[in-house]
Amino acid sequence: MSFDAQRGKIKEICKDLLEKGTVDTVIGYAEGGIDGARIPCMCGKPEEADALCWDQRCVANLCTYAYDKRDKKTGVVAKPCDVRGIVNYIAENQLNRENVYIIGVDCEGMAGSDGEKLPWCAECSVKTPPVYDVRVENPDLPDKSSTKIEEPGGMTGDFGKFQKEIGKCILCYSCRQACCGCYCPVCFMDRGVPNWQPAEPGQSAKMMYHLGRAAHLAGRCVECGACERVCASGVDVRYLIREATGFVEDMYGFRAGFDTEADPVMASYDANDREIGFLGGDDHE
Amino acid sequence: MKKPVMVVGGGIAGIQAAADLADMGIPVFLVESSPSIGGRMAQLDKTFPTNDCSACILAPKVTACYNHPLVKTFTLSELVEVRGEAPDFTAVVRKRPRYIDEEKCTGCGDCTSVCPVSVKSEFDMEIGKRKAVYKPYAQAVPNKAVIDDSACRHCRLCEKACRSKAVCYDQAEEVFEIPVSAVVLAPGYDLSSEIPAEFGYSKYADVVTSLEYERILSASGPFAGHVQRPSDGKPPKRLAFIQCVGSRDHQCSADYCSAVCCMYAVKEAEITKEHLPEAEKIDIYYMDMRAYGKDFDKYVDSAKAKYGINFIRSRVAETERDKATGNILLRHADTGGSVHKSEYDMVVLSVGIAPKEENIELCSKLKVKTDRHGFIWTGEMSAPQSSRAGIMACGAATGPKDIPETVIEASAAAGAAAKAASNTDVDLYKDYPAFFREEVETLVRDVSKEPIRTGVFVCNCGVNIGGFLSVGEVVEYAKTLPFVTFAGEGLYTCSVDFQTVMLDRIKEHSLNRIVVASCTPRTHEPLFQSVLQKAGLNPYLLTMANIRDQCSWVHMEDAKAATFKAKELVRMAVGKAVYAKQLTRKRLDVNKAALVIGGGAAGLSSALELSGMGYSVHIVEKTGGLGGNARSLSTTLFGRPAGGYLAGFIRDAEEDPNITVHLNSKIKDISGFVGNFTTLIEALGQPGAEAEGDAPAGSAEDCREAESATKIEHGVVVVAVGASEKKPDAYLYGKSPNVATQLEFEKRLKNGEGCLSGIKDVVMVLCAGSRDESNPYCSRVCCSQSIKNAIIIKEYNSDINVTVLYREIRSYGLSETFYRRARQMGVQFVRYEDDAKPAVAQMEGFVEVSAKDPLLSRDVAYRADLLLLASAIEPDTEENKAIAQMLKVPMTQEGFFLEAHVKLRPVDFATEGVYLCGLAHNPKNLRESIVQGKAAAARAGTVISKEFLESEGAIAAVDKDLCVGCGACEKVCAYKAITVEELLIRGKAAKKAVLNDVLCKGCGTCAANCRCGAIDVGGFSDMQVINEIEYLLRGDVEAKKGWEPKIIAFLCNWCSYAGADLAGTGRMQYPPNIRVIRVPCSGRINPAYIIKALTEGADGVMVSGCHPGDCHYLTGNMYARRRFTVLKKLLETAGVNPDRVHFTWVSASEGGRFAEVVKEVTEKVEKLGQVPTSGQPVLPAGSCREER
Repeated sequence: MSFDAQRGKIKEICKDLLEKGTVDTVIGYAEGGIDGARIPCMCGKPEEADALCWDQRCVANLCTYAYDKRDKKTGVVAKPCDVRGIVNYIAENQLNRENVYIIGVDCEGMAGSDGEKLPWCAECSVKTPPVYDVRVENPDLPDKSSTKIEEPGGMTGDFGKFQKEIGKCILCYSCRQACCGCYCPVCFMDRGVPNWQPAEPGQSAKMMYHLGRAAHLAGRCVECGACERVCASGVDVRYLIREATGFVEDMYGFRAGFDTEADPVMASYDANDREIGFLGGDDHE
Repeated sequence: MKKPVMVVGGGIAGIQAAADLADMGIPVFLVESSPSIGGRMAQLDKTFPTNDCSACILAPKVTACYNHPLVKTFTLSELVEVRGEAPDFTAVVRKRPRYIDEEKCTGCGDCTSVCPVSVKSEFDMEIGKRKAVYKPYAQAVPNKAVIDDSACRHCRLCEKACRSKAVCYDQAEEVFEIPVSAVVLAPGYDLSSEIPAEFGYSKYADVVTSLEYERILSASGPFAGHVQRPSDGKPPKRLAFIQCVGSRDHQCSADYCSAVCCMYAVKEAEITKEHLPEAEKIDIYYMDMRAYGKDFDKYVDSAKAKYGINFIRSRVAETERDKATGNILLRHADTGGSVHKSEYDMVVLSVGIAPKEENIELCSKLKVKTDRHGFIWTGEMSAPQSSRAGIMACGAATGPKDIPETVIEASAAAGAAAKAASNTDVDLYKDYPAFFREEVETLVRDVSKEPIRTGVFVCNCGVNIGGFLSVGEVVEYAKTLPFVTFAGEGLYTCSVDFQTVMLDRIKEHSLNRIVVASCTPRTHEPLFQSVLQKAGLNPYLLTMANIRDQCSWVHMEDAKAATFKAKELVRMAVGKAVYAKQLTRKRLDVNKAALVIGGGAAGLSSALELSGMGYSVHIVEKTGGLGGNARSLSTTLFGRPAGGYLAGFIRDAEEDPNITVHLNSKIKDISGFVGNFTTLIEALGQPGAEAEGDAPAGSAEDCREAESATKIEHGVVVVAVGASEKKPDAYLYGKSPNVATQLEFEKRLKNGEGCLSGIKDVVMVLCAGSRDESNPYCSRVCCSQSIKNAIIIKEYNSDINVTVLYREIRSYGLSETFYRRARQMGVQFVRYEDDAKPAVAQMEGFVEVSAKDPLLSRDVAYRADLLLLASAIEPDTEENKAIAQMLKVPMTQEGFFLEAHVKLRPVDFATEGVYLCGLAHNPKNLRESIVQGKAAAARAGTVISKEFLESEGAIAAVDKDLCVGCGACEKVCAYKAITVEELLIRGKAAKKAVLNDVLCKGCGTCAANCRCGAIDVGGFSDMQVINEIEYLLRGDVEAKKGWEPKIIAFLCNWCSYAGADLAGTGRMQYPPNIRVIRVPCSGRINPAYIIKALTEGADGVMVSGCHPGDCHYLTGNMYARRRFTVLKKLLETAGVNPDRVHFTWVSASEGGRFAEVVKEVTEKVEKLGQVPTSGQPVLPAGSCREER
């Protein structure tokens, strides 16, 4: 465990940034959340940085806070998934690279209140920040050379299970609110005209929501698990997108949040793109 | 208005010329001898080197030309005589009777179905059949029947069958005398009829010509795209192509090369392999593989590597039919001289292009010169001008050429004709009342505040609809639908009589949404839109339901199902109409100046042409003088001194008050868009530093002018930046005094330095820097240029030995005759293999060149006092890249510029207002550069001739409040019509997508890619599509026994919807479960549409667009492909059965495939049963959401 060593380094860096005026604000984690989950903490003065903490309960993705402060120069204590969120914002014109100072922190995964590693962290293969201004290393990080997403278990391809799972959903849209990829001013589900959902909020509406959102996030998900973390109904929110993320990597060799200059994968093409599942396509027998 | 121009010939050349002229605001009479325009290209299955579907890319162009208000088309007509002088010609046109009243004929085909006479179809190269009253082919334009007088038995059955009384046997020939300002001849070509008897063409049924084979391949051809041999209908396993049949053969009067056969044979071979993957062997027997065009070599390589086509260098001696098996035996000699016999199931003869007999006759009547082959003569440096002033000629009638070159020449001819017409002035509607009528503008009523009052008009189309479903029932049902105020039926809704009825009903009920349930909107939307306009309604308030081509014609056996489907299609249309908006075309001013980048031959001819049309032009040239590479040429390819012509061009440009020349200058920055560019021209530091010694006088003055940065404003840009001869890095170049490039040699010849004195042996090495690893493309001109120089040397002193070492002689087209002449003069041609380049060694005063002779298969050494290298033509990649970035235009891998479409838009960029010509496009000779320069001028003229630019009506629009400025739209727009810009929104800077209305083509790819829903597309808005889905799936009021699958099909307008229409024209029956939603492009289809359809209870969804590469909007389907692939995966993950959702591509010529696909999809969906998520409440009539 080298959370302690990293914590000291983080505080030192943040203090220094605020003292020198490199940034206006630093966003990090502080104690005080429910069940020991760390809360986001905004520091404007050097001395406030003392409150910052870093341990296995820093579960929130802070990039959405950086998005809120996008007009100011902001430093962010960022786990690899937070960094990928920031990179995505930059690639999509939402953040200026100059306005964000990335304090990239090596991360071996966060844990729930029971001390167990969170499921998405257990699956995570990105332990070091892909982009940063300063990196807080963790020398004890177990080597994980594979960047391939692990095969998700569960409900792939089973309509009944899918229906059962979204049956738990109450369409509270918490997952959307927590997601760093969902920043549309008005979500397609909230539009009256055009009315994408059916007349009543039943299974069809939920299907529209989960499939529609997954289609929007294909090739953009940074795998931070925020959606599932905030779900009050215990829905396996990630499974559609998890599948899509792996598929997009297989097909197009693209994973979101690594390159600020990359063209969005769904707004690109290759003349030789494979046609999987097409009539007369590459896999058509 | 300018005095009209007459264009003779309705093939691709004539259509291009006519459309360009009309777009320049010059009225056109298009005279076509056959019953339909479209020409040879309409007969082709695919086009090389992209394997684009020919019908898909041609059809929109043909329809647009025919429907242009300034084009009057005469079919079945001939130009007889042209009296007077330009621009005061009187053209005499003779129109043969069609025996069908074009005004009344609706193209329904009732007459054809009753006609008892069957004759061979000319369109299908006499393999298929047609009736005596017929349409030449399904997509014929005009879409009218014609009676073949020679076959008709006058049984009058058609007259009885025709409900609109269009048959008139007593039509007589008509003669028109029309005053015109210029004439463009584009009468086309014939296939060579001189097929050597030893190939057994007329003897054996399985020996076919290439054009016959093209029809066999075509999905709309006599075998519906199933490749089979004519004798027994079996698919051929072994296929041979024999090249140069009736070409390069002085024994059959065609000693020229037909320029296209090599590539079309490769294409046909590839397509064969695609149709018959199990084919054992496909062999092409050839002399030289003339892959001289842009990306042609790559195409040949892919044929070898990807398709396994064999290329056999050999001349075929004869064919013979094996009596026992019926197969064809082919006797041929290989390069070593030994004779082989090979067996094939079928043999295709690559027959060459020959001049039409009729053309020679026409030209003699018009006093226009033809060359000794019979092609229309055009001056090498003055093409497309013919020998008679004011008469231009273009296309294959002036010599063999492929489609892009035909299109280029046609645009150039249009430009020359526009120049001829530039000082004329007529009152079109008064002076030509028989042909052009002014559209009376009616006051448009604003209906946005009115409650929706929909009128539904259902067509019987004679018996075409009414005979197969109950129109009365459909009308009664329509009356029950929400917002429907009026519903009625007509025998032919498109007839002039019924149009008046529609006008009355619209007035009577103050209708403000019109639904016409009839045939396909692809042919009839413009007509009904004009009715709305006459009624004072915005034309976009029209919605059509296609109940003929996609309903009655394809469900002929089941009237009940067809009626049910027709009701549902009408219901969908009524739903879509609710959200029909009044769309208007946006206008934009045009700056009438032009910028030409590059002052070489192409740039000069472009500038002179633009100036001749009356526009001011800026030429920006980086060196100190005009003329470019042409300054180094001693003679043209045909042996005329080039210097005089060029000096003339330069003098004309310098003396032209319309032309400003900026020498020693380069482009610093270009901003803006079509019609409104602003450019900064920067003077280069060292005036004259790069200037050649023979720079023309007067340049010094120009240099001074350009010393500071100049800002100019202009409406169009012509990119003519050229390319240069590569300095070879092999063959002792630069190291030996005996070695020079061909261009350097020409310069010496031109300067008359006595460069040949004392020289006894000359060796030329071809492909010295082309077609290798560093320059993989063919430089196109070097073969002909080397032959030309060899002839010059031989003419200077026939005792000089000239040896040409070549890989392949690509003296395409008429240049072939010089190849023969050079051989006759004693020039030695020795081939070397691709992997055995000649070796050179410096000797005392000469160079020794040794190469392996494939005939002798040993090394032979040649002495060379002078070694001439045919080096590559090389673009300045860095400089081109800078210009490409400023203009937002693409480049090829090789560093040349990439045109909008290699076949049909060879001088355009996808970015409007920017045009391309000369070596910047691809290597080409002087004549081709000049012609392309003129073509670019003509294309540019279509923009700057206008008082203002008009956008399309149905285009995208951005809702700024919803936009987050993520830029996905900008990335997918092929037209650079949408960009992310920083705007001040309520006092705060924010990045937002901004649409340029004039550049937008309305494909909707941006809208489907916009997560935030900030972009919508007029005419195909999200709400319109959603209402189509909801009205279909929620409004099922008819209690039906049992469940039947309901499948929503999203089809792109240009390929798949057209393919579905073609299935109808071909009466191909398929299950009636499909409900088509038309979208402009597969790129428009938002994944949410598909999810929406499924969650609303559609049992299946089918999506189809143009095949990748064929997209009408260039790349829309490419993005769609990715989107659908991922969506399919998502749906599968969610457990939606993969057999419910189908993605595919159907082209406009694949009617049969469309029917097959629908059958397959319906079967699969049927097997799955009802979709488990359905069960939405049924919407009672009148409860649908109202417009916002």
